Amino acid sequence: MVKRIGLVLLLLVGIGFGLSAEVTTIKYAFWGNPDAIGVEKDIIDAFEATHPDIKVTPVAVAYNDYHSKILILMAGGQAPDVMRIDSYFFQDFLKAGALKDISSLIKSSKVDLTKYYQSGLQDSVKDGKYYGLPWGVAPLYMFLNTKMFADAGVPLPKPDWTWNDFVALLPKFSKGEAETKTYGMGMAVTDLSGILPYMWGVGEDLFDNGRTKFTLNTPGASKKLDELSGYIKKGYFADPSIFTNADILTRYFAQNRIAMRTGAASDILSSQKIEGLDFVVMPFPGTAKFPRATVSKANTVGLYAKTKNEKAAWEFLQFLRAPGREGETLYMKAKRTPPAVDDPELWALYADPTKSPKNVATITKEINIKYGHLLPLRAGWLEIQGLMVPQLQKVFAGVVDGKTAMNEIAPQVNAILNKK
Amino acid sequence: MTLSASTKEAIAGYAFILPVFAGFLVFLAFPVIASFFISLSEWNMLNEPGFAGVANYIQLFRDPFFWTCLSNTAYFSFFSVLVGIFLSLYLANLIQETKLKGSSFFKSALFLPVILSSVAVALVWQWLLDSQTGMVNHLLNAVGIPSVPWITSPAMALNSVVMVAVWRQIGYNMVIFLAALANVPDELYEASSLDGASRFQTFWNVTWPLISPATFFIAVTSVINSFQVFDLTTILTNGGPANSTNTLIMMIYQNGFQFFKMGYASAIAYVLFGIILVITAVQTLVSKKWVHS
Repeated sequence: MVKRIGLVLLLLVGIGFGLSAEVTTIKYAFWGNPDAIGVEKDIIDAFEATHPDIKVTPVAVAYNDYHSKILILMAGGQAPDVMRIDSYFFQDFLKAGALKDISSLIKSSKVDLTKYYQSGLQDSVKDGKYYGLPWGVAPLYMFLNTKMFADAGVPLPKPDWTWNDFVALLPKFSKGEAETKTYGMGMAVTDLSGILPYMWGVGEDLFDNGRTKFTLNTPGASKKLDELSGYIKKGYFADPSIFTNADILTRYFAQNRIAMRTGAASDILSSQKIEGLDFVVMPFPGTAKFPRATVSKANTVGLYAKTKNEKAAWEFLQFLRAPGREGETLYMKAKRTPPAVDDPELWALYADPTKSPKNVATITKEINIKYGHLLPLRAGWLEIQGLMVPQLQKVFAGVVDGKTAMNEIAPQVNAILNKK
Repeated sequence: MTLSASTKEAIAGYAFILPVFAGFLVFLAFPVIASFFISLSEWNMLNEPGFAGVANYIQLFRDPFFWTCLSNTAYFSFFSVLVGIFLSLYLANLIQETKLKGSSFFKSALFLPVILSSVAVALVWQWLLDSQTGMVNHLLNAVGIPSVPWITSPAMALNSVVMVAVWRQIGYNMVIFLAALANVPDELYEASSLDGASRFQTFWNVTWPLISPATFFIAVTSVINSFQVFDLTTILTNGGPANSTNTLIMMIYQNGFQFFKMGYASAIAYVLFGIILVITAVQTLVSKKWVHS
């Protein structure tokens, strides 16, 4: 009797080991609320239901701590197999060899890269090699308050509007005093994506083509900074120092105090919740010579360079981000991130099609084809931004002119650019 | 082997403090020592640290941004501590002297900001101090005073942060002063009154010396805390406008967790530690001259 019980127990243990040996566990890191991972759990559950041999352990960290947490996990040998990386940090992570080149995996699995917005794909590429698949692809749109345009008797511009068209509109909205003052444009100067579109429209940029030399101190760029400073003094632009975060910009826009502002896809969702707010989205106005002035940016989901579970991790990454796979649809239903592919049905899931802006899908496509411009991201981007933003704030506060402000930090920026 | 009673007592004592001591070693002592060695290296947390000697410190003292953050931090510390001590002492004295009915209500009301989340405080004050739609400017406009760019002007922003910090901390200091004032013997006040001393003379010659230990405690702890200001400046102004409210702790955070320059961030942390240590040592030395023991 005892022997029989022992044999049965041994058999059960053996089966247990056998089963557990077949299941591969991978870790998937993303930023979000660790207490409410929402759609990520839905995606993981859906994946595990169709892949019983793979278990996905989520690693959720609040955004502000996310990338440093990933670095700490890597330093401690606990790196996640699949991880989302913000494009601001992509070059830093690449430089440190953290992400795996998945070009051969993409080819062998026949992932159709042509379905993606091509501008979004570029933020996952380095030297022609793919280090991830896009996540959260969306440009920085120009939001136009249709009520303010109607009240001013001004027709809405077309997508091919230019900088001169934009400047001509500004005085029409700048009226009133103090609490009743309205402005043509609201601009936040909290990061470089709010400033570079103005530069691109005149053919200027933050760096040279090789991204090894600081070029925002050229006469053309300095002139543009002084021009913007002038518009603030005239009251055409609201004082950027008011907008310390996007919520304040949304509030002013919703209160019909600024006729135009830039905004991301997430700002579309938050603005759609405001009752009575009617707006359209447009590309950022460029010039005939330099039409590509709209920021295009995407984040990346990639594989850890030293993952021991490459096959399982790649299987999950495809489910999560490959065109036509379940992950993209689930993200759209949860309104977590805008579509990475040009699909009006997915846009209808993401942004309420019954509310403004009703032109978001078509404008996104046009931006992708004609008006999009990638941020010149590279290693040290945030450090450079940390130097640039206070100087830009000084220019717009009228403390210093553009040339002086940019020349002051040029040596430090170049030192960062040329650091090995 | 039988142990003596004193040995057993000693073992029990060590056993009781062992968990706390282990925590101290793991979460305080080891990181502080490790941080020193990291400050002597160049490390982005992904690759192996490379020895850099004192290069981080040299770079730090040549970095104009460091001097900006240091002067902002010193300004904030000086004025928030000075104004905080003055106001909290004044309020404590007022409550103690007048012996108002309902003084408990005032004590609670003034202490309330202390227990509020600093993030919530900063967010609410951000609304209140909005230059165009904030309540503070609205009230000023109502009495004919033009709007003030509280947090949007480089000249005003740091003063606004000082103001919010003082508002938040005043209750805590006031409670300590109230306890100190309660311990001043009434006979001394009676004697002072009999001698014909004025209110100021009584305060300066009787009250001030006797509450000096409490004042010293508040001064030291307030300076140490003020040099570590982070949440208020991050939420209220995010270090701006134009770096006017950027502090040393923000600089450490940015370099360590945004720019991945752990060696440099550790060097800044050690310099900050050194500054606080020197200030506290000076305060302790000088206290012998004015703190009544």
